[in-house]
Amino acid sequence: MSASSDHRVLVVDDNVDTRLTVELILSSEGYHVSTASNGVEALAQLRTAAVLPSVILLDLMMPLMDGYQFRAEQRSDPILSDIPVLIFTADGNAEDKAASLGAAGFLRKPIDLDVLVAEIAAYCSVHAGPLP
Amino acid sequence: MDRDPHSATDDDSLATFFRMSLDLCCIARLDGSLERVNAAFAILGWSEEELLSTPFLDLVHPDDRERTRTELAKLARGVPSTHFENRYRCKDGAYLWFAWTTAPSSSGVLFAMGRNVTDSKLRRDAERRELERQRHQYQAIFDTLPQMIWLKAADDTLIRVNAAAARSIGLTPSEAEGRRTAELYPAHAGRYRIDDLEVIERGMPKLDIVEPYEVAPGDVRWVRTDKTPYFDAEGNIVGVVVSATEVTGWKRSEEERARLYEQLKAQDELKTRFFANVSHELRTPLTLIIGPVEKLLRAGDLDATTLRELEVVARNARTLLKRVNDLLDVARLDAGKLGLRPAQVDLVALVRAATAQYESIAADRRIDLVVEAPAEQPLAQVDPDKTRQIVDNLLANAFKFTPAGGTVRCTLRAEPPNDAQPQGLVTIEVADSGPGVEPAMRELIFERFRHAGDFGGTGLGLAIARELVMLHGGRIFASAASEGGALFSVELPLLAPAGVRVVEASTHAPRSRATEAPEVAPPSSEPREIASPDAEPDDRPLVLVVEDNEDMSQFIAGELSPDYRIARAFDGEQGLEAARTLAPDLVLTDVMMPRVDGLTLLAALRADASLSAVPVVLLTARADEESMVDAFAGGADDYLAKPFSARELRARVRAHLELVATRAEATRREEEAARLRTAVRARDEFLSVASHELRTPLSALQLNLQLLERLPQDAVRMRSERLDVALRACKNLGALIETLLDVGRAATGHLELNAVEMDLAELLHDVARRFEPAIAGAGCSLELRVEPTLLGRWDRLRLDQVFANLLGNAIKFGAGKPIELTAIAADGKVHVSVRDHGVGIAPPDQARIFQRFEQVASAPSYGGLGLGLWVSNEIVRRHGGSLTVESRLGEGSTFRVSLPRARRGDR
Repeated sequence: MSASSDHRVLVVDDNVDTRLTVELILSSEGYHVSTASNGVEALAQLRTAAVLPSVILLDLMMPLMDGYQFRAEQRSDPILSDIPVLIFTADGNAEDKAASLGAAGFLRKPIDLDVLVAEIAAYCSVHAGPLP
Repeated sequence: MDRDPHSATDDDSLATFFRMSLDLCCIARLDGSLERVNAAFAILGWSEEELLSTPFLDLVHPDDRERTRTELAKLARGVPSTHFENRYRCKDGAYLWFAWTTAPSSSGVLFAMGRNVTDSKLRRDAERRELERQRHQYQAIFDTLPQMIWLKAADDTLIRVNAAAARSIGLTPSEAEGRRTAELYPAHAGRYRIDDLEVIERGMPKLDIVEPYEVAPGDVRWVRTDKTPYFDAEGNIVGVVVSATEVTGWKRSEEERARLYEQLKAQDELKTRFFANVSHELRTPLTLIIGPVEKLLRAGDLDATTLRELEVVARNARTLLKRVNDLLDVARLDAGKLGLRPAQVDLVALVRAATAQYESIAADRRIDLVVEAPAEQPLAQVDPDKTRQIVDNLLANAFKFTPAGGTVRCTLRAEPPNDAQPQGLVTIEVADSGPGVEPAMRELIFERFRHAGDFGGTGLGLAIARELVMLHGGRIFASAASEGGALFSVELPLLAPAGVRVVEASTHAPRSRATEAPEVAPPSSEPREIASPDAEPDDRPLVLVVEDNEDMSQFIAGELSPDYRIARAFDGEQGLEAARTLAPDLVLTDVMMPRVDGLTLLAALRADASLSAVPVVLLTARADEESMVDAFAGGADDYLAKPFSARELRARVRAHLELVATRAEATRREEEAARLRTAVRARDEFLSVASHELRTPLSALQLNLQLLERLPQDAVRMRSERLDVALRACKNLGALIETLLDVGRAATGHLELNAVEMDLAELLHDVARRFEPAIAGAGCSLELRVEPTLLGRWDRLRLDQVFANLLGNAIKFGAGKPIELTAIAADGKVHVSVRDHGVGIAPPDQARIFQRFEQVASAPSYGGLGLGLWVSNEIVRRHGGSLTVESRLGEGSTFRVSLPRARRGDR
C-alpha cells in the first residue's frame, strides 16, 4: 500500500454513489484520490493541481461536459495530454469507445472491486511516478 | 584673371581660340579644381569665379562621378582620354551631357575640351528605349503564339525558337537556340531538312505540310507546317522560317472519318441489297393477300361488318405493297439497275388514266380534281412506266395533303423542239390546296426518308419521282400553287436523248404499278377530336392509344376494349392533353406521328410529375436497335414493333399493367419494411439505453456489497454507510426500472391515466417533504410558493412521478444552490414551475431532452435525465398540458408544467 502512496487518481463520474465508493476503495488502497462530477470540474482541478494524477478514471455520460468533450480538451492540452485515461462506462461498446477516444484502457460498469484495484495499480506501477 | 606664363604670340592666338571656342575648353588640375575656363562654360550658368572655386567633381552627376574619377586616375598616369561622356550640373539644377577630350601635360595640368552632346545623347537614349520596347513586343508575340516557330539558318542551325516550339520538346528557347534541328528531332530531321532545302533553293514557301513530330522518343504527334524562306536585310535567302501547329486530334479524326466512310459505304451497299431482297420477299405474300381479298370484295355477298374490315385489309395491303415497291425502286436506283426504256407515249392519255384512279376518292372527300391538258399532244419519248409512276407519286402526295373540300389540279403542257430546247419540253404540274411546302423545305422534301414533317409515310414517293425524272434528264421542283398548297412541276425532254432506242409504240398501256386502286390515306391533316374513353369509368384499367393511323388506332382499340377502357388520341399533342385529363393507367403511342411525335410525347410524360410513372409502350415501325436505345433512354417501358399480332399486343399491355400493380405493392412493402426497421432500431436503442441506465446504480451496488464483505465485522459505522449506499443504489435501480417500464408503456401507447379529483397543492407539499433529506444532503434549500389549494382532475401517482422527477433533477444539477417550486392557478390551468440555479442546459440539449429515447440515446450528455423527462412530458401531455424548459448555461433551469384543471373529453 505504501508503494502506491505517491500516486494520485482522478475519478470523474456524475453518479455520486459510484464516485464516492470508488474514492473510498482507492483511498483505502493508499492512493491520493480526487473526484469530479463532470468534465468541467475535472479540467478545473487538473489545471490548478500542484501534482497531476497518474491515471484518470473517466465516465462518458455526464452533464455539462461529457467524457468525449473532456477527452478532446485533455488531448489538446500539452500538459494534460500524457495522463493515461481509463474509460469507466456502462456502455456496451466500452472497448470501441475507449479505442476511438485514444484511451489507455476501459473498465466496464458494473465493475468488480478487485478488477478496479488491479487496473489502477497497473497504471500506477507502469508510470514511475507522478509527473512534475 | 592671371595671365598664363607662355610666350606672348602663341599665347595671344591660342587665347583667342580658347575664348572663341564653342566647345567647353578648360585647364584643370589633377587635384580636381579648374584653373581656367573659357566663355563656353557660360552654358552651365555658373560664373567663372564659382567654377574656379568649386572642385569640378562636385558638379559632375553623382551617377557619373565614379567613372569620372577613374578617368582622372588614367589621366594622372599620363593616358590621354577621348570622348569620355559625363553630366554636369547647371546652376539651375539641370544636367547637361558633355563628351570630353582631355590631354594630360607634363606640367601636371589637364587640357580638356568638352562638347555639349545632351541633345543627341537624349535622342539616342529614347531611340534605344524605343528599340528595346519594340523588341520586347515582338518577343512577347513570338513567345505567346500557340504555333511553334523556328528560325533556321541555311546550315540547319536554330537561330530563334519560340516558347511554344521549345516547350514542345521540354526545353527553353535559349536551350534550343544554337543547336541544329537534327540534334533535337533525330527521328524526322531528314524529312524536315529536305523541305527546308527545297524552300531555301527555290525561294518559295512550302505550306500545309502534315507531318509527324516526335516530342519525346516514341511520342509522335502530328503537325501542320508552313515553311517560308528567311531573307536577310539585303534580300538574300539565309535560312527558313518554320511555323507548325499541332493537329494530332484532327489527324486522328481524319483517319477515323476515312475508316467510318469506308464502313458506311459497305453498310450502304449491304442495305441496298437487303432492301431489294426484302422487297422481293414481301411482294409475294402481299400479292397473295390482295388477290383473294379483292376477289372476296368483288363477290359482294358480305355482311356490312365483314365488308368494312376487308376493305381495311385491302387498303392497307395495297399501301404496304406501294411502300415495298418504293423500297424496291430505291434499291434498284441505288444499284443503278433502273434503266430508261423510252417509247412513243401519249402523255394526255397517261395523265388522264392516272387521275381517273383518284376520281372516286375525290368524290368521297369532295375534292375538286381538275385535269388541264391540250386536246392533242405530240407523242413524248419517255419511259411510260416510269412517267406513270412519277405522276402517280405526285397525285398520291397531293391527295395525302389535301383536306376534304379542297382542290387537286393536274396540268400538262408541251413545247416542241426549238433553239432554246432542242429536245423540246413537256411539263406536268400537280397542284393542291393543302398546307403547301415551306420554301426552306422545297429542296429537302425530295430527299429520301424525309417528309414535310407534319405527315406520316416513308417519304419515298417524292424521292423516287425525282430519281425517275433525273433518269429522263429532266427536273422536278416544288413551289407554291395558286390554290394555296404545293405545286410540283416536272419537266421532261419531249425527245429521248440521241442514240437511245425508242420503242415505236408502247406494247402495253402504262399502268399504275403500285396499286389497282390508289392508296387512300385518311386525311390526317385534319385534326381529329380525341376519342374519350368509350366506357363509363369502371374498375378496368384505362389505356390511352396515341396513333395517327385510323385503321391502326381502330384495330388496337378493338383488340383491347374487352379488357380495358380505351381513350384515343391522334398525335402526340392530343396524346399529352388526353393523358393529363384522363390519367391513364398505360399509354400506347406510335413513334412517327404528325406535329408531336411519340418520343416527344414520351419525354413530356416523363417530365410530368403526375404521369412520370405511367407505363409507356411505343409502337414503332423501326425495330432497329438504335431507335430502341433512344426509346428506352427516353424512359419507354417497352415497345411493339409493327407488325405485331393482337395476341402480342394484349400480352404486353397486360404485363405492364401487372408490373405497375406489382411495383405499387413493392413500394408498400418497402415502406412497411422501413417502418419495421425504424421500430426495431428504436427498440434496440431503447434496450441499449436501458441497460446503460441500469448498470450505473448496479456498479455502485456491486462495489459497496464487495466492500461490505471485506470490512471487518467491528467497523460498524463504515458498514452501515456502505449499506446505506447499497440500499440507495437498489432504490435507484427500482425507480429506474419503473421509469423504463413507463417509457415502454408510453412508447407503445399503454400509459393509462387514472384521473381523480385531487389537490395538486397537497401533492406538491408531499413531494417536497419527501425530498427534504435529499435537498439537505445536496446543500440546497427549497423555497415553496404554492397556492393553498389547487383542485383539478388528474392522475395523482403520475403527477407525483412528474414533480419528483423535476425536483430530483433540480437537486442533481443545482447542488448547493436554492431551488424554487411555484404553483399558481390561472386561465383554468395550474402552472407549476421548478427552478434551480445549477449548471443549466445548453440550447441544443434543451431541444433534445423531451425527445423520444431513441434520439436521446444519441445524446450522451443526457443519459438518465432524458428518460425521466420524456416520461414526465408524456404524462403531462396526456393530461392535455405542456412541459417546457427555459435555461441558461451556468444560471440554472426552470421547468414549467401547465395542467388543465379538467381534461377536455376526459373519460
